[in-house]
Amino acid sequence: MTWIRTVPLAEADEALRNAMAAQQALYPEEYATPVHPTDDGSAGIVASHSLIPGALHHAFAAFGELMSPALPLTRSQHEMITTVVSVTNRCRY
Amino acid sequence: MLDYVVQLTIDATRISPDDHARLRSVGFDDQGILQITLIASWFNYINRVADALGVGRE
Repeated sequence: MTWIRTVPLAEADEALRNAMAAQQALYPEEYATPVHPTDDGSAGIVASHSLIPGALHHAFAAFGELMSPALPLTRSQHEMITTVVSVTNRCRY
Repeated sequence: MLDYVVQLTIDATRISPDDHARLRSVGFDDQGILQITLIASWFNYINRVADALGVGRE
């Protein structure tokens, strides 16, 4: 749920569907279940970008690339960083 | 690593080559430092997006 309109999966055009699929393909398996799902089961934070599919694709693809096992950091280090950032920001998400 | 992440989050303008030296002293190379910086920066981005748009808040 967001305070702006988002595009439900059932109404997604090809650009949006492709952007979401490309993003999902880059993410580790443990990201498959959304923390805050929308009514159609997609991740709320991804859906929040749905009005601009190109931004969705590039924003989330960047993070997906940053979690590549080919890079130096471990999954645990990824999660430590993201947790500390969120706690420091007092992020409610 | 996490001290660096906290400083980046609070005020990245305060980060200096000394902070990078500390990361190198515990084994991170330049690619690792970049990866830490980009993951932390990206999550700062997504925190702000989530809070500004009310994601997960009913």
